Amino acid sequence: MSEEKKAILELRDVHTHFKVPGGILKAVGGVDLTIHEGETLGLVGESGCGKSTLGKTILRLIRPAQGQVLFEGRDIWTYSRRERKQYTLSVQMIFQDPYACLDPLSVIGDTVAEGMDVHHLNSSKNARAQEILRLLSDVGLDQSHASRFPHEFSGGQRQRVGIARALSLSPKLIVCDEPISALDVSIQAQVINLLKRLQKEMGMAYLFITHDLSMVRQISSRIAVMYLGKIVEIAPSEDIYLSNRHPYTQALLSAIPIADPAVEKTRQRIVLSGDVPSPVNLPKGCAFQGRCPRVCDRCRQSEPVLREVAPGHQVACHLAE
Amino acid sequence: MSDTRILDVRDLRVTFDTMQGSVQAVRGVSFHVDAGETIGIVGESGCGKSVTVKTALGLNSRSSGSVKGGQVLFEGKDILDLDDRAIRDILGNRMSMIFQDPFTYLNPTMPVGRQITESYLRHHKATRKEAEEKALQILRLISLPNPEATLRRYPHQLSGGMRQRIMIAMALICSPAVLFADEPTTALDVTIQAQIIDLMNDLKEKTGTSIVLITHDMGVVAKMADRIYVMYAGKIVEEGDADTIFHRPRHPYTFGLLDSVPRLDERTQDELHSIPGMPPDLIAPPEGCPFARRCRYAMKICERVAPPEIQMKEDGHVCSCWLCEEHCIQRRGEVTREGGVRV
Amino acid sequence: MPDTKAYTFSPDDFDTLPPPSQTEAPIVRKQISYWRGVWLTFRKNKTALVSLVIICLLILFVLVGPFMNPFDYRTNDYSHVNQSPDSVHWFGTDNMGRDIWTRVWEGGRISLLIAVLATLIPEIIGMIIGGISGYFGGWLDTFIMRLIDVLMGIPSLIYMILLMLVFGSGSVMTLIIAMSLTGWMGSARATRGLVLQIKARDFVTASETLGAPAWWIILKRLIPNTLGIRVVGITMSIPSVIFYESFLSYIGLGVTPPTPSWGQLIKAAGENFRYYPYQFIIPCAMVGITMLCFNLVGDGLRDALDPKLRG
Repeated sequence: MSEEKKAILELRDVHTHFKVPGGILKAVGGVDLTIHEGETLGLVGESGCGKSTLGKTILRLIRPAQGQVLFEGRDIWTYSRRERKQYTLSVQMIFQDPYACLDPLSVIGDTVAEGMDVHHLNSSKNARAQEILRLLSDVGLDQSHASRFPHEFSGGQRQRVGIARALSLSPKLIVCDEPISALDVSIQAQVINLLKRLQKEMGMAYLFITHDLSMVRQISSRIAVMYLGKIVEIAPSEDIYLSNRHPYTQALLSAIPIADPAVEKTRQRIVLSGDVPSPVNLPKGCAFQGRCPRVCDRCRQSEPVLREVAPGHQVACHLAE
Repeated sequence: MSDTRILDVRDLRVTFDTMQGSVQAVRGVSFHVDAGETIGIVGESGCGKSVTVKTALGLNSRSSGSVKGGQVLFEGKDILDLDDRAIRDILGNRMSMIFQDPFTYLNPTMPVGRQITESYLRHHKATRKEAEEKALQILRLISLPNPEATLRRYPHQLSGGMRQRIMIAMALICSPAVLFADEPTTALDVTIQAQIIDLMNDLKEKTGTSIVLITHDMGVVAKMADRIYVMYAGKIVEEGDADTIFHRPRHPYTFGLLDSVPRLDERTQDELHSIPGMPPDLIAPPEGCPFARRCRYAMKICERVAPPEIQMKEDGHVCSCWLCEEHCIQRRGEVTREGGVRV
Repeated sequence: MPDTKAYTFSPDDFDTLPPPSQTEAPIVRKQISYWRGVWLTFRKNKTALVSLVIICLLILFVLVGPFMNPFDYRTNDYSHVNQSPDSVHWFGTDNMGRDIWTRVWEGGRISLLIAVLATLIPEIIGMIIGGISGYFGGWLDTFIMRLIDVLMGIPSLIYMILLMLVFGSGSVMTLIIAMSLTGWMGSARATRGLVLQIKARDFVTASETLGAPAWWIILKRLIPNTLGIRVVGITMSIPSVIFYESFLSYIGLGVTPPTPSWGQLIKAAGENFRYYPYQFIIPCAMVGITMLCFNLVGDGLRDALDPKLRG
């Protein structure tokens, strides 16, 4: 099914490194990933797994140490000045922290219009004001909010402002970096519904980065699970929940408590021991070997690569059938 | 009153003065904790759950002016009447607390071992050696690998999960009667969260310490709490044992909380249930029910009069909602989470 | 909690209301803007408030003072030399018979003008250099910071003397230019430090992803967000500039007579201090009061701007 769709963004063997005291931190260690037009790809992992770095690499904020990021078939690091501008119009971002993502000194209207102002997209002041009102009403905010400052808004409302700002350039892809994890539960559902509605109306693709496996199911068509800079499993959304193969995916799913004490009492769980190792000195072989309940000799010898186990379902584990 | 009641908070009212006016953060909250049980206080940010707990710990006293009424009875004394010295004798000793972000509560310049023993030495006549022995004992209890080496480490050398374990060790070294846990797992990854939840459940079994869990996460509550209080806009809107709250809730806000988190064992929905709007501003709380404006079952009376606390048929199940009032049930039938109105 | 028994139900009590709207509820709370909050807190600090009033009075007198009596600041009158304060010459006259009242306010004009301009101009230069240094980072940042280290290592009086030699000493403009060229380093360092913090915040990243050029981010996002914190430093540096001007005038590097400045007046009166102390004390008191008031206002501002200290 996904084969027919046109790919808009392709990552080919992307590595992103940071210099840290004591070595090189390999935040992203060889990721291949394709995002199709109009789909939502969920990118799930724990803190430090490199999922946010990957998002920033896609946004052209960090240059990969190795590999290519192709947008509509062209490497984004070979762009000319004009192509760069075209790229910022096509790929936008929504942030995690609704408090840090808005300039406290700018009124909401100016924040929403910033992208249009930078690229001189509006012919007149009047057109600009009209455009601001349209964007605010698209995300469920009131017209009167345009002249107010961010500190007058709740977390959920601020997140809506951030979404309106990302929409202002009519992008083809929006990277959502943990857009709901700082919000209250009742507000999280509002924002997910809003994102789904906007996608239906405007047809952009989302890369939805999160650590929350229960929410990501509601919005994603495909989900990729990341561990220590690598994708360990990628599959259509329902397959991740119903026929997952990688022991890390299984452990992640089983660690999430279900809001039902009766179910919780009888549920079999895999509790991983230990912590996520530092990505500075990775062991030879599989990165998950130190915490894997099914680790064997082969995992310590050679590193598993992603291979297809079912249509559209890839796993990087020696033991997956 | 039963002998096993450890903490009894009655009709607590707390108000904070801000430049915009007085915020009525807690508006008549009552709850109690019995020996060996875990209670969960669930609510969204700004509902007053953290303020309630801080006040119960004696951190907002009557003399500071913010506590406007109520009692916090702990081991026969009203915490609100105690002076700073008496509160310091209780805190970290009979009542202790763990926080969302352990890193800000640990001293970065001191090895964690000294920090664990510090509160023990303050509250007990013991030598440093005895205190260290006690610390090792606690670290073994929370099954920390290699406890001797860990004691000599500094906070920045430990991972987030390890730091939370150290906080738990600090909180438990004096064998407190009540342990308050304010969003203890929110800052942690899910796999680490699962470890900490298991650890806390295990410790409750081993030490008999009662736990007051403050969280917004219905999943965490389901795993830990015996009884649950649901808080909204400075009030407790529904209370009951875990089974009742999860399976037979009666307050529409509780429905909303349960519905807005998609369950992992349920398939994708077209549109997630969400609660429209946002909580009222507690500078000017509404006259009637604070949830009326967001409630899909709201009636005219909800905007006129605040609902009374209504005792439901299950033991200890109390719901502050007009829908549970008998006149209303006669007129409209019972409203449940699954079926909407059942006539 | 109302007593249900006491409440009598009206017939329409259980009628349902229309379903809640999905759009966000309007903001109920009357919001206080950041600067209004700062003012409300500042107002509570009585010392700072009185200081602010005194500064306003000083500015008022500096503007109108010279016109309040018939004398001007430069006409010598050898028939009324070294007169003590009386009803004609309110602050007395100096050794050339010039009215000290007029000269003090005229000098205050020069001193305050220099104080404000010689604070703001280096501040702006420093902000831009610090903003560029902090935002771009890398070798440019290293280069600018080392340059500042070197420049700050040399006593500023040496530059002053050199610059005075180049521009020719004596005029107010020369003094302001010289002080601006030597005073921007501190501001640049402070701004760079703040910019390093602010540029890590998401709203700056958002501007970058929207394709905003560097000058846009530095001028519209970074520098405005440093101002709130820098304003205290700016207020606090005015007194030291006033003192520095007085000092330069005193050692003969400042404005040249007959143009008065407070430093000039103090220098001229210092020679006859033992015989005519009022000629010396009055300008000294002006410098003292101004410095004290700006310091106290800066102190009050710091408390008002710090969100942790605000009630």
